[in-house]
Amino acid sequence: MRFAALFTFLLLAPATAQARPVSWPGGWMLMLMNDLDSNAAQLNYTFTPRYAVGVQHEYFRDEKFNIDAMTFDALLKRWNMPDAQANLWLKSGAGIAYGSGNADPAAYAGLEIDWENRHLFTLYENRIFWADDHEKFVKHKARVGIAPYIGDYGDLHTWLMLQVDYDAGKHDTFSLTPMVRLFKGNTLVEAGYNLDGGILFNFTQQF
Amino acid sequence: MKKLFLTLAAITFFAVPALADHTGKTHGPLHTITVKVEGMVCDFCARALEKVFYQREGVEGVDINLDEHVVKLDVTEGTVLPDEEITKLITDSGYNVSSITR
Repeated sequence: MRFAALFTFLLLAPATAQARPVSWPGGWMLMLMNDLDSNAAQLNYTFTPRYAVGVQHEYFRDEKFNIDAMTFDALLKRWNMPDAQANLWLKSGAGIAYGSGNADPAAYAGLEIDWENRHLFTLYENRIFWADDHEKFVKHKARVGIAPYIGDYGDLHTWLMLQVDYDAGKHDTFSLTPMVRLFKGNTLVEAGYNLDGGILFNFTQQF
Repeated sequence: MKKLFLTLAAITFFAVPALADHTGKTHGPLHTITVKVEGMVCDFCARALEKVFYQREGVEGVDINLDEHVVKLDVTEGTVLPDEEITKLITDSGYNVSSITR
């Protein structure tokens, strides 16, 4: 019953992308991502410290169509600093979009660049999506975050973040989402409320 | 005789847990290698390095301090773990080594 309630919440909640799509060699990662437009679930496997492959299902609520895709995520570049780290990631997938009767090939790709130390976090991400007759869009996202306290390894880490989304085609507007990120062990949860209405909820489990 | 037995029992009781780490392994004397790592800023980074080093034979403990950017490796006596190998394991994981102290 509790699982059914959680599952229902995840399907109804709206969404955003996760940080760090690649973990450690041999590591699996389950990601549930719910943003303003879609609900997605991805399971991936990291086969080198730089590359992960997986499968993703995503449902676009307004357009009422699904996409099932094979995913490929890569750490293109990492900059290590004494007290900070920056990364350039590629997130991509290709598969089939289906919904109102017809099925089309679909693909997406995006770049994410982030910088963080133990106090501050910044991120910019874009996503180009193409699904023939179903949907085509380019989206942009930026985030800033601050840690209200600094925890040790293994503690519960908390981040207060603000996300800005820009959908050039569909809405041509910016939207703001204040959110909180909780991170402990191999589990990361993000929850927020978009000022235009809608709940943001992301969940990542590494194992 | 009874006193000797009780003394041995007490030594066994206190000594065995001291020789077992959190994974339940028992081991002999250890020496510690301290590695300063650049770019290790979060638990995901720490977890990745922990996984890598626990796979290396002879590494019995991995203690990570994110504030000081330090990884302390507890290695069994007799285990050869050269600086070059430590550096390779860390750089292959996506981080940089700034110093290694033994």
